Amino acid sequence: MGAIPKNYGLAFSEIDGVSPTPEDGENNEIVHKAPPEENGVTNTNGTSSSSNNQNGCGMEEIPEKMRHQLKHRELFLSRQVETLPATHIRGKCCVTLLNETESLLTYLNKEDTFFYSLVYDPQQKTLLADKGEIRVGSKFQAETIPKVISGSEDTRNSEDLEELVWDPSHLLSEKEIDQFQIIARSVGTFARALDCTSTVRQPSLHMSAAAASRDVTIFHAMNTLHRQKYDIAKAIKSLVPAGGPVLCRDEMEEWSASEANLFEDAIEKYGKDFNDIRQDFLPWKSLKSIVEYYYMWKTTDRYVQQKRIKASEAESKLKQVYIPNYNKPNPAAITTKINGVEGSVSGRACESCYCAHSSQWYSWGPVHMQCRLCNLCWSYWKKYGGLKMPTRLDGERPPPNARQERIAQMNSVRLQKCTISGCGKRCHISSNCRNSGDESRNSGNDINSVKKSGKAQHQREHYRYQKERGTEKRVSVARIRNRSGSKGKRGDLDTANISTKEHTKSPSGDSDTLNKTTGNGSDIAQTTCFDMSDIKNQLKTLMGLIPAIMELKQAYECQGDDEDECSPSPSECGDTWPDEGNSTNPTTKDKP
Amino acid sequence: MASLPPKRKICYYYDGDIGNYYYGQGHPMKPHRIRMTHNLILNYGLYRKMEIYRPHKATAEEMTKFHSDDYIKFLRSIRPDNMAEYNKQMQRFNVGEDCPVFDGMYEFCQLSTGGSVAGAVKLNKQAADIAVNWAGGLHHAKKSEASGFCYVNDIVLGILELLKYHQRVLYVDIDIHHGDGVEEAFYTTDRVMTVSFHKYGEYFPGTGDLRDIGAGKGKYYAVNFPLRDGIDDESYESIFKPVITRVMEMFQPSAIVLQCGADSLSGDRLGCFNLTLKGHGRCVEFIKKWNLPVLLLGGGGYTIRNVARCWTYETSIALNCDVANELPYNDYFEYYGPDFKLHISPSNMANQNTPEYMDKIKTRLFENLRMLPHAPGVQMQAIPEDALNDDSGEEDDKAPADQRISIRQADKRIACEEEFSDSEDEDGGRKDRRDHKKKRQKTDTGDKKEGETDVKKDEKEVKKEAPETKEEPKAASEKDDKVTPAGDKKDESSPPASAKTESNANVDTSSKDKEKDGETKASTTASSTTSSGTSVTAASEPEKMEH
Repeated sequence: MGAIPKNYGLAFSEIDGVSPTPEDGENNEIVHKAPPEENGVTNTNGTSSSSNNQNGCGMEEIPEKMRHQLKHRELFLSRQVETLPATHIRGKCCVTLLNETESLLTYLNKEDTFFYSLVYDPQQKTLLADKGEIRVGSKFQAETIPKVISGSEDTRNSEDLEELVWDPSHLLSEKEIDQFQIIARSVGTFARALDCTSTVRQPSLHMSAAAASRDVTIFHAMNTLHRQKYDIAKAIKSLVPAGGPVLCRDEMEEWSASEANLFEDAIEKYGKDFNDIRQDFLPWKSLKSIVEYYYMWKTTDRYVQQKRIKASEAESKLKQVYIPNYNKPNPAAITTKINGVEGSVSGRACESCYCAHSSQWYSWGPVHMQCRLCNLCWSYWKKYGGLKMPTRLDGERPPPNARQERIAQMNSVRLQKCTISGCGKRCHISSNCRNSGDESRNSGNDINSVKKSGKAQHQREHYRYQKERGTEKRVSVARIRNRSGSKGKRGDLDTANISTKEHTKSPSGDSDTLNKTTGNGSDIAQTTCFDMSDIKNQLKTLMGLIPAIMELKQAYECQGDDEDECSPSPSECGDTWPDEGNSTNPTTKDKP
Repeated sequence: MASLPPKRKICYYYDGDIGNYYYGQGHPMKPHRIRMTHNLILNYGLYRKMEIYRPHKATAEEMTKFHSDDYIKFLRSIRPDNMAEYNKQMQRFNVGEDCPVFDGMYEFCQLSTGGSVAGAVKLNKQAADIAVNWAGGLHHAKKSEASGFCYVNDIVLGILELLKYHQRVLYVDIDIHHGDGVEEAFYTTDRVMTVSFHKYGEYFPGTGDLRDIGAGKGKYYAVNFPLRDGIDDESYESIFKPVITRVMEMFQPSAIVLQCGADSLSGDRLGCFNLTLKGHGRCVEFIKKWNLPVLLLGGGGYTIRNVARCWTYETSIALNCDVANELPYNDYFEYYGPDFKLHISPSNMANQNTPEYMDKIKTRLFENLRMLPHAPGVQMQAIPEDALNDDSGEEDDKAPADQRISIRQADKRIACEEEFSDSEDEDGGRKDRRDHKKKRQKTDTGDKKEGETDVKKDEKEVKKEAPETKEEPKAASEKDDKVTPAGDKKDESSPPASAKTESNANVDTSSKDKEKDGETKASTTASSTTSSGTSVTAASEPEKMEH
């Protein structure tokens, strides 16, 4: 019935569908899909629309590998805004809101594409689907929808609603109208010649003619024609009434040179705060005439020149956003050149794909394990924060049976209380978080921490360059397209504003109502099982690494267009095992 | 093309003051863009081709037809200099941040609303075919709340006006933001269908999910097409046309309100789409082709030079009048540098809307539209199909031989896509329509949906013809009204009407001989009365079906 609870219900099921620990969640999405073949998934068109189908019977249909890799494709947006050095950008990628009609597997087919469905809000400490609501109730809908009146004409008097200022049904030809406009302009030119103040302003005939050709004269001509019932003769007469020829001037012409100077000074001082300008500089002008003047002033040579200078300055500033090639040696790279023989040092196969040959090896995982990755897997790890294949290190590759059991377990929980699934998952996260906090440094057993840093790494790539603000090497990263309270990216002007502004509306709005509306259980599951501090922990690295679909500066884009080229190639990234990685990670540095 | 004789009558609303309202420093919404548009329109010579009106200032009484009294009272009384006294109310009504209190704010709302309401009345009086109000289109305003730079929802008020004379009104929104204010206002009614194409996902206002389809009686009467960044002309057209076509078939409105927010253009300050004027304008053109009364409104648009370009171009489309790519000199000519051309080029941004994505959304929307009460069910069989089928068959046969239909008629017909492709010589003329249909059918059948698909298909064909004639006649609808009072009344009481289709189809038959006007009248009477008889059953049954 009520559309809203239902929507939220769906929203939550969507959350379930793509939750951070996707082994069960993703299945919801994927259940209906035929098992795709290896990497080239082609048969994803069997749209499974019901993402909230909760039975996990299709568990086996998706190869373990894909399920594993899908985890790497989910990101969480954050409402946190952060500033990062441009040098941390490695490339760009595409992050889209997961749509229910979409198959998750399509994300695996495309490189550097990620999906999200949840948004983390550091103030509210929530991780929720970001969704507005259409409210239902007499307070929101139009109440008195009129009955159709048939037969009778609308009797309202048009004159109360509008005033006709031009009627095309006249008999004048186009040419006659043109001619009349020229006459009006001529009269205006002559009027300026007679007018003392005008002669000062427009010392030459040319200038008078130009001034008389401004739109205000033409509008006046058209109005005159209309008022004189499209009788040209009458209209011409009315252009030269007894008092002398008609002189139409807009603000541009009305203002004296000194006023214009005052205005420029004022603009310099106050920017475009016209109220202040009026108060302190031009109190005898109306606000309207100041605004009108301002927009005309923007067409003047002086302004255009100024703008050009500013633009070129900005341009040159942007050029300073030069990002040097990363050629610091990668500490993780294993130098095997001791004997000139490649890759023979440890002889171990790649931890991820088990291949034995690679042009370059990278040490990976805790030192004592002496694991290593091949070239390809390394760059995959750098991008997606995980290994292509589940590894024994992450504890996520239990013997097949055990795994099935675990999944079954999760499912049974799910089935009993569908909303609990979220809970199960969240617990899962938080336990990981704890690990990542203290243990992972040494044990390195927690693949999630790996993933985390990897993601953070990756998410650096999402940063959008702000052309205007891209001064020097620091690029402000804003949530470019935020929603919630504010529509405009006016906030663009200062990022700090955005994050605060955003919540002007939502605190009592979105999330609260969310909790209320979902009522029975799901929200409770969410709030109780979410250990918020843990989540915060986990999301630390993700904070601020926001949606931000990047529009890199053009120059940058050229190289960035092919995403492969931008992907962190091993040699580019001086990266290390997570903790170290984190320390160089901008997110930790700039964390509030 | 440009010289189709019976031009549609355009009324254009503008107040010379509008450009001088100023939202405040750094605010992206600039009413000045409306003046820029106006000056371009003047200097392109479009001004002289249409009726130009200065709208009245809408009264509080008019505004409270939708808005709550206390909200309007608040808007009326708040000023920058007394803001301090209104702190609490400002929060309550969401005035302050995005929607600042500026000098003349209320007047601005009055003018914007005045134009839209006057335009709607104009359409109701059948004194215009298209009413244009670029100062309107403020689609975020809620009943008791300002939002997204909008205070008073002129669109809702305009639609409410139209509803006095139109059983069903279609609202189409091509602003990049979701048209949440309008959708919310009519969320529970089946008399207004709102269709919005917008960026969705971490984007203002956060509503407009595919699954938001309306509530109560209005279930399935809200259509939302969520989009991703970077959609280009081609993709947009590929979704806009089929969705609107389907909506027209299923909903059969008798008036359309089109919100032309220009922030869906490439390079918009707040937007992230990649449309050019052509792609944007194509939507206007497409809406226009249905030959229904259209209320054409502005909306968003924050790169003002492009907004002015866009709305000027769309005015020219409404007028059916070509304009040069070279911009004419005007007071704000310098704004249009460095190229000083009308049209803009798309950027090289990536289009994140993959064909598969759009297809899937489209399919889903079609599924929803199929749920509309009068969606062809078995009931439709009850209609004297022979006549209709014959009719439609004839139509199809005739289609290629355009000459047989008088130009005047051809213009009046609502052969939507067809005419569209005619004007767009590029896409293979007449075929377009057929192709289109086939495509649709494919999706239909592809979408499982039992065996009734075939039936549906047929009916769709029939329907297809119907809307074409449907609005047919300013002149004839009037006639229609008078001639078939019985049928019409039935029609009003019933949800979207197969009845109407019916009687219209009949009008169609008759209208073919329209030149011989005299006899036609008689036959219209006859046919429509009969049809109204049958249609009663047809129309009432689907209603049951709904529940």
